Amino acid sequence: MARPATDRVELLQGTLDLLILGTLLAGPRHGHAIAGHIRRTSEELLQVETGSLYPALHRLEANGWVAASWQLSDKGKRARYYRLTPAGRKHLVGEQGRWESMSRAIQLILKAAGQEGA
Amino acid sequence: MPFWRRVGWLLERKQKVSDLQEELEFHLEEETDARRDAGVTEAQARRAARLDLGNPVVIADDTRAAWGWTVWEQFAEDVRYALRTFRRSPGFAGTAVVSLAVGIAAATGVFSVVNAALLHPFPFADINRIVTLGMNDKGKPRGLSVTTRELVALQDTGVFDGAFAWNTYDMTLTGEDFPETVRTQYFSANGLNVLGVPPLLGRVFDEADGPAGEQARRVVVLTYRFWQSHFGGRPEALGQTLHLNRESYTVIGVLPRQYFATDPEILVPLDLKFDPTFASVGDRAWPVQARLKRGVTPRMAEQRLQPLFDQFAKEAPRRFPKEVRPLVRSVVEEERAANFVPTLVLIFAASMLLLLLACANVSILLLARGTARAQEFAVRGALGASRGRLIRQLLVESLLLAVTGAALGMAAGYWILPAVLKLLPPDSVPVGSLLAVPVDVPVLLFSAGLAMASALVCGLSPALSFSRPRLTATVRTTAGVESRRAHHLLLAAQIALTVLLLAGTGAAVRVLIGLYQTSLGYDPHNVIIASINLPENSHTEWADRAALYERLRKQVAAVPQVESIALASNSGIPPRSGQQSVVDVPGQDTTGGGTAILQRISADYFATVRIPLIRGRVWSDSESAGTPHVAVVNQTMARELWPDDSAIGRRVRMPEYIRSTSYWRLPAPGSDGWFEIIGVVGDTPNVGLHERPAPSIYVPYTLMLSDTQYLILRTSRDPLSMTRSIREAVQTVDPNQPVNAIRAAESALADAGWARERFVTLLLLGFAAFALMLAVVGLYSVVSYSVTCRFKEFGIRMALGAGRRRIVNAAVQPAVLAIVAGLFAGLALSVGLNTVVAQWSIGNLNDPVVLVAVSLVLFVAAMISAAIPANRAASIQPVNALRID
Repeated sequence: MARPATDRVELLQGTLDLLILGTLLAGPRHGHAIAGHIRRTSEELLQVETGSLYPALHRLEANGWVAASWQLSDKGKRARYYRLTPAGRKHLVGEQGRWESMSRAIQLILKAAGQEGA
Repeated sequence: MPFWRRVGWLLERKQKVSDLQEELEFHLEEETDARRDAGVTEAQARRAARLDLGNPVVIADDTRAAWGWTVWEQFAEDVRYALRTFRRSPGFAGTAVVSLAVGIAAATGVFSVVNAALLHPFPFADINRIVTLGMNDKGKPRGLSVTTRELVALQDTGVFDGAFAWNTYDMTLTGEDFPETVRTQYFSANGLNVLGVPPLLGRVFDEADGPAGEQARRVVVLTYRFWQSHFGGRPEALGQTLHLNRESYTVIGVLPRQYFATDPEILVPLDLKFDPTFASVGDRAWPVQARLKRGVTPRMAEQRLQPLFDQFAKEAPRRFPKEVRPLVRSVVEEERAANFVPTLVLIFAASMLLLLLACANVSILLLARGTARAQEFAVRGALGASRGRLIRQLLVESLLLAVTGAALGMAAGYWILPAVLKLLPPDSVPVGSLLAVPVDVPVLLFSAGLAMASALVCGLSPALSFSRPRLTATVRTTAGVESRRAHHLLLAAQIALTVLLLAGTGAAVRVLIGLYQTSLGYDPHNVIIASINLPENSHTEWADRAALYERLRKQVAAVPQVESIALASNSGIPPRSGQQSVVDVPGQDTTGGGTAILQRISADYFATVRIPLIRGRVWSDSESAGTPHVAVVNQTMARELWPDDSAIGRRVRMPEYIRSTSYWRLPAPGSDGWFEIIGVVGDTPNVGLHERPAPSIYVPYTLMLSDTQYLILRTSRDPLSMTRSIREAVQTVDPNQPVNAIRAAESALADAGWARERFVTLLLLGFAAFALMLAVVGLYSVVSYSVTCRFKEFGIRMALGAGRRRIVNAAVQPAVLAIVAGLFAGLALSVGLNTVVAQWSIGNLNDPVVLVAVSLVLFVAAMISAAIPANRAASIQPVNALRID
C-alpha cells in the first residue's frame, strides 16, 4: 500500500536526472517501470511525478545521455524503452561523485551543528 | 548539445508527437494494471491512474519543450500571426515595407559600389603586382612617358614580369552610315598578357602582333560591350574587318564582360617604332605600367631601376629632370588614393542616414499602430503572455517587415544598380568588375545584416513600450499620452536627420551650380566641337593644307546659325585641352619644370569660347596667314614666370617648332621656334575641372599644321541639331572628308569633370526626396493617429462647446512643436557637423541660404501633411464621436 503523501520526500532540484540515469544502470526500462523502480527502491519515500518524469526523459534523450527505442514489454505491449548511452554513463559517474561529496558535506555540517547544540 | 538530433526530430515532428501520445497512454495502462493488480475495481483503477498521471496535455506540452524547439514553434506562430495582422492593415504594412525597401536598397546599392570600387577594384589576376611607373622629381611625383627604346630597356631590367606602354585615343570607324568615333585603348602588344586578360572568344594580341621596332599588325580586340552593340554578340565577329582611321583592322578576339567594362570600346596594339626624331622631344612616348616579379616590392623595384633612370636622364634631359628617381606605385593604392573615395564614403554615410530615417519612420508607424492595438496587447497580457513573449512577437513583426523590405530592396537594387552605375563618371571608378557582379556574397550579407539591424532599431522602442502590461488601456479609449510622447520624440529626431540630409544635398547642389557658373572662365553654352582627320599622306604640303583648313573654316562659318568658328589643332575646349610641351624661357632654369600646356588655335578662339582677354592683344586673322611667331599666355603662366607683370613682349622658345616632322605635322616654313608674347587671357581649367589651371600658351595653329583639326563653333540655337548642316558644309570642301566626333562642349564638360558632382548630387537629391517623403508620411501618421486616439475626447470637447479652431490646435500643436524642435536640432546638427563633412569638400553645411531654404521646404511639407488629419479632427461630429464604444 502506498504511504500517505505527507510522508513522501520532495525531490531535490536536479536529482531526478541522477535517479533516472541510476535506475537505467541496471538495464533498459520504460517510463512507468522507471517511476516504479524509484518508488520501490526508495521504500516509497520518493514518488516521481509523471509530469516531471517524461519531460526529464526526453531532455536526457535530447542531450544524448539516454537512447530510446520501441520494444515489446513483458506483457507483450509496445513500450518506449530507455537505455543508458556511454555518454550518459560518463555523465552519471560525474554527477554521482558530485552528489556524494555534497551529501557528505551536508551530513558533516548537520552533525557538527547537532554536537554543538547538545 | 547535439543540435543535429533536434533538427532530425523537427523533421519527423508528426511521428514524435504521436509517439509521445502512445508513450503516455502506455504509462496510463501500466498504472491501471498496477492498481488493478493491487485489488481495486477496473473503474477505480482507471480513475486513480488518471488522477496520478495528471493533465496529459500539460505533460505533453512540457515534454515537447524538452525537445528544444519551442522557440521555433513560437517563432513560426509569431510569423503567422504577424502575416495575419499585416493582411488586415495592408496600408500600414505597405508603407513600412516600402520605406525599409528603399532605405535598404539605397544602402545596399551604395555598398555594392563601395565594395566593387574599394574592396575589389580590378578583375585582373594578382592585381597587387601591377604597378604604374612614374618619376620622383625632388619629392614631387610626376608622370612618366617612355619611348620604345626606353620601354625595351625597362623590360630588360629583370624587375618585371612584363612592362607595357599604353595610350587612349579616339579612332574613327567608317563603313557604316555615318563615321563613328570609337574610344580606343592602345597597349604595347604584350599589354593584355601582362595584365592577364583572357579572351572570351578568339585570342588577345601578343608580342608577335607588335614587336618593338616594327609596325604593329592591324588587329583589334573587342570589349564585350562593343561586341554586343556592333555585332549583336555573334561569334562570327571574329575575322571580320573594321575600318578604323581608314585602315582595315581584323577582329581577332572578344574580351569577357568584366574587362574594360566602362571606358574603351576596342583595343589595338601600339606601334612600337624606333623613332629618333620624336624620342628627344617626347612626342612618341607613352605611360608605362608593369607587373612586378613575384617577391619584388615597389620599393625594391625603385632601387633597382635607379641606374636606368640615371641613364634616361642623361640621354633625354628634356623629359627626365635632374636627380630623377623612379616612382613605382601599385595601381590598387593609386585608385584608393583617388579623389573618388571620399565621395563614396560621403554617399555611403548619406545612404546609412537615409536607412536610419526609414527605420525611424517605421518606428513611428509601429508606435502609432501599437496605440491602436493597445487593447489586443492588454488582452494577451491578461491571458498570461509574458513581457518577453510580447516583445518577441513585436520584434518578429518588425523583422518580417525588414526582411520583406530587404528582399524587395535587393530586387530593386539588382535592376536599378546598372542605371546608377551609368551615372558614374567613366574615370572615377576603376575599370571593369562593376557591371559584372553587382550583387555578390558580401553584398548579400551586408543587406541581410542591415535587415536585422533595422528590425531591431525600428522594432525595439515600440516593443518595449507596448509590452508593458497596461490593463487600463482596454478601458480608456481616449488615452495614449505616453506613447504619443514617444511619437513626437521620434518625429523630432526624424525631422532633425532629414534637415541634415536636406542641408547636405542643398550644399552639394550649390557647389554644382557654383562650379558651373563661376570657375569655368569660358561659356560652354551652345558650343560644339567637331573633329576632322585628314586621310594619311594627304595634303602633305604646308601651303596646301593651310589653304584647305582656311576653306573649311569659311564654309562652316557660312552655315546659318553659326555665330562664330575657331580652329584648334588639339581638342581646344576646357576642362582638358592642349598638350604638355617644353617651353624654354631665356634667363630661367626650366629643366624639367619648363613645360606649359600648348594650344594651337586660330585667332577667333577666345571670342568663340568667350575667354576674356586680360592684357595686350590677340593676333589678327591677317597676321595668322603670314605666320607671325606670336603667342598668348594664360594668367597662371604670366604670373608664374613673370611675377612682376612683364609678360607682354617677352620671348620664349618651343623646340617642337624647330624640327621637321612628318605628314601629320607640317611646320610653317622658316620657323625658328621663338615666340613673342603679345597678350594675356583669363584662366580656364585645362587639366581637369578639379585641378587648378596649369600654365598655358596659345599660338597660331598655322605654325604647325596637324592632320587632325578641331572646329569649334558657337551657334545661336541647340548646337547638336546642326550636325547635319556642318557635315554638309565640310563635304562641299571635300566630299570624302568625314567629320568624326561632334560633341556639345557642355556634354564634354559634364563627362570630364562634372560627372562626379552630378552623380553625387543626383544621388543625394534622390535621397533627400525620399527623406522628405518619409518625414511627410511619419508626420501624417502621427497626427492622424493622435486624432484617432483622441476622437472621443475631441467629441466631448466639441459637445461642451469647444470651437473647431481649438480642436485643430489641440490635434496639431504637439506635432508642430515636435517639428520645430526637430528643425532646430537639425540645423544645429548641420552646423555642428560642417567641419566633419567639409573634409570631403562637398559644400558648406553652414550656408544660410541652403539652411533657410531647407527649413522652409520641410516646414511647408510638414504643414501640408498635418493639415489632412487636422481637417478630419475639425469635422468630427460630436454625436458620432460619443457613440463610439
